[in-house]
Amino acid sequence: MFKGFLNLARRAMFRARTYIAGRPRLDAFVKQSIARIPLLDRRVRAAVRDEREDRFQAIPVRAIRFGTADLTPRALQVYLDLMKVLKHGQ
Amino acid sequence: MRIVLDLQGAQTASRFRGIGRYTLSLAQAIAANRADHEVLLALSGLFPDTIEPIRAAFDSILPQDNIRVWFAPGPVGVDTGNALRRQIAERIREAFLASLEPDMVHVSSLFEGFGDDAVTSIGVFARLPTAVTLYDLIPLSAPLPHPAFRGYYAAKLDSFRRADLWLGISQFSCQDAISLLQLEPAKVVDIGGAADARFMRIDLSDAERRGIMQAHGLARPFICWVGTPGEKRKNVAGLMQAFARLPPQLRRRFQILIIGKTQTGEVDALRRTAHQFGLEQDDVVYAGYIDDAELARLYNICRTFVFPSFYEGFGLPALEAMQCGAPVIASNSTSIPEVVGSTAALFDPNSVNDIAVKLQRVLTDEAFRADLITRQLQQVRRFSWDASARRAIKAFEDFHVAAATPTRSASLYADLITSTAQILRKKLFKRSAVMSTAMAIAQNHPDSRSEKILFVDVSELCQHDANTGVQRVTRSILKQFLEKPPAGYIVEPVYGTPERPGYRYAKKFTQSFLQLDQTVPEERFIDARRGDVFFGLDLQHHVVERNRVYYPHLRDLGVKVYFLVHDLLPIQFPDYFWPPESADNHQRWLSVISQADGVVCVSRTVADQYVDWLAQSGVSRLRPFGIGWSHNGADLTVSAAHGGPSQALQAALTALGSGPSFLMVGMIEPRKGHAQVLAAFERLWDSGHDLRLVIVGRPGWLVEELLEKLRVHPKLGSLLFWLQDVSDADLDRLYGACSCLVAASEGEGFGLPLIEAAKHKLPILARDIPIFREIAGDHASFFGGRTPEALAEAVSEWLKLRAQNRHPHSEDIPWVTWAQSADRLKTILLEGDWYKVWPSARGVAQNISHSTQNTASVRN
Repeated sequence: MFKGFLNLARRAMFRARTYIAGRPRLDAFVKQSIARIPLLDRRVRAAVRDEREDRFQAIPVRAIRFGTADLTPRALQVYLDLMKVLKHGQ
Repeated sequence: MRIVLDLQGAQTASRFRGIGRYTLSLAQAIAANRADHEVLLALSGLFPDTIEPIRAAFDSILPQDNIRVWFAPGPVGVDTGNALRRQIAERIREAFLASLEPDMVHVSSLFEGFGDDAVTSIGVFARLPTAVTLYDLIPLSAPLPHPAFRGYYAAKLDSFRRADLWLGISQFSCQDAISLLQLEPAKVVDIGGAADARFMRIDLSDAERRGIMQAHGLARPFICWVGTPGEKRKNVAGLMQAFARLPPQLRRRFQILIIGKTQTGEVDALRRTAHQFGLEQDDVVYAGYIDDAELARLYNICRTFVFPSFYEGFGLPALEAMQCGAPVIASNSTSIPEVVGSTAALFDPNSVNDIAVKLQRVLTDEAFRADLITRQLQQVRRFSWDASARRAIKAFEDFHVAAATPTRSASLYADLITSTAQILRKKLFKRSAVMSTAMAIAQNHPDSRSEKILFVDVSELCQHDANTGVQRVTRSILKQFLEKPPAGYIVEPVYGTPERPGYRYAKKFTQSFLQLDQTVPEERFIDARRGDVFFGLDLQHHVVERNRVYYPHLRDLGVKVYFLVHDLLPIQFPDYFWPPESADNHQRWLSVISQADGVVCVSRTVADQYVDWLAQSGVSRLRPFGIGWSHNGADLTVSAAHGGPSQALQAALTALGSGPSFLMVGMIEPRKGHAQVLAAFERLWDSGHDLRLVIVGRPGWLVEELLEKLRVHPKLGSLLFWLQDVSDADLDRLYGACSCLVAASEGEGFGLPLIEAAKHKLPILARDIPIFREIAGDHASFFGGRTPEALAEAVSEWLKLRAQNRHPHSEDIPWVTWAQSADRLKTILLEGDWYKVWPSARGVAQNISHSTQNTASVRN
């Protein structure tokens, strides 16, 4: 129950983040607001430190939080080939 | 022979050191001396910031297509959490190199990767003929304090031994490796090294010399030392101690200048050391990191350069100083005598007395100094990158002749999948690891397709078609591209969103645009690969800004990235645009696209303005940026939606027949000059002129007062007509019915109404601005000034000319169709037919020089 709620909250936060990041004026405003509170600023920075979405497809691939829907057709094909070998040992 | 150069040595933190300089210089020389050999560069996508400078460094030496970037999941630095990922990356890299089918792979720095994302391995996945640069084996001779590094170094030595050929940078390094690692001597080749050409003798005036010394806090002639002060093998303490032993009256005439990057607290430690030896605080000056240009000047003005190292693989700083004409005294240890040459210049680094004696002599004995300089300037001629490269190529050739033809795996992809899956299995099927591995492999081994793809951005159009001027252009060009794709290309409309970087195939939009009735496939992120082209046809500022990091990635892949520029109006007329941040948005958009490969402007005027903007904005580029121009098409049939005339139009058309009529076309906004035109006509009406003014345009922004005036104008419906929603067909009729087009806009990107008027043989009275001159040439009348009186006078003058049929006729204004416009775009984008290139070749050279200067700080 708690875990489900946590996931829901995480998902909502993620959506909020992508919504804000997609709007430069709002993004700048939020960043400025957060920067005024150093403790919050540090926590937010720590939370997004490993975030790779911004660099998705754009720089070396690292830990990715997306689903297969976010892969290119070729990457999906490679992914399926890898999974096939992983599951069936072929 | 196909030679693949792995340039990670110029990508990691080593790019700030001698290894980076050596890697880059040798690779450039190999490329320049390649003769009939094919040279490919392999760059790691794990160091994205280094790719553009390296591409720039090879711009005039090697085709850009020969520079290939590979990707691997990161991070892979030595860390317990990265071990499996590093294993995967090693296999991915080797598979990529194997896919290039090399006859020889040269690894410039095999020992990279302890503290960064370098991936260097030999023979863990593919057996490729491999040569490795052999710098030194210092870690074998000195204790390694870090236990993790000991293990790492041992593993790297295993890989090192698996190489087929070793290219030593000095005789000493070759002999050292043969004896310590029992390498086969025939496979160890001394190719030497060289100093960069920027280290040369420079004529400096006394004032310049004083200025340089003052800038570094030097009050007296100085002894120069360059290196990493924290490394004991560099023996900076030996120099200080020897200096302390000089006679006091001699010592007080000189200072020591320590040049080199220091870690926190190192300078304090050096000060304590100097103090222990009895030196005064101002006897030693610490300069820290200094760029190459400044370093060359310091070499030129130092009294002597001292190189007291216990161990070197080569000794580049000594060679650089010699090349600048500095008398060099140096250690007689390891490789240093090979570089310095003259035995008279050598001392025993373990003997402080020996150093002191040699130091005293070089500071005081003018004949000795002159002899050293002469001999050492002769000695430096023995070193050149071309010579090193030729030796390396000869070694490759000899190996190639002797070795069997490398075997090519027929199932490289399948083998890679199996091999990486074995490691992924150890990660317990962690989905994100599988996905990141899949993404890397997909980029390194794209689908085999015979045709390239021209990706066309329709981000705005595929969301909604507002039928604006920009969207008319997008729609018309896209239609032409889809109907007649460039030879060898498939055209793929794509779109991005402000939420996330990357572009997706606009399948649904394309089906609808082409009125196809097929099942719409999933709209996935695009698969771009080397040779493809991305064209930012549509204009959506936020999407472009969101993809600021994506475009460089496309370029890393070998995709050319271009954009269409309609105008710079929000920047030129910030007060005329709404919302107020329009200018900032446009500025940011221009900044992003200025880092692409080029732009195509809709007119020569905009191209010139864009070049001016680049100069004013101080845009810095390492590689040339193309600026082209192609006029928009003017054949309405492509994009027009025909309809019947409205009642308002009918009334206007009826009234127009009874006197001269002037037509204005365009949205009502401050820039278009409606207020000036209306005021001018009011004056003309007041003075008894029988004229009609027809304004066609929707209400825009910042013109509330004018709109209110139009709505209640006493002449409205008799001499003044305002038509807000006019179809292209109705506009056609108006062009045919009016006497003259008034183009009063203060700035335009193109000026379509002028061409539309010309097609209807409608004379034109236009504001004298560059774009209208470009479009109409001598086929229009022009007016200047912003006052109503000036325009009223121009209208009167035009009426007089017209009465005598002496007014310019517009029908000869040249114009192009959308098909011609699209063809011109294809020529520019795919054949590089640029109007201008920014910056000039000289500017690019300066920028590259500046960039590479920043890549060198500490030598050896």
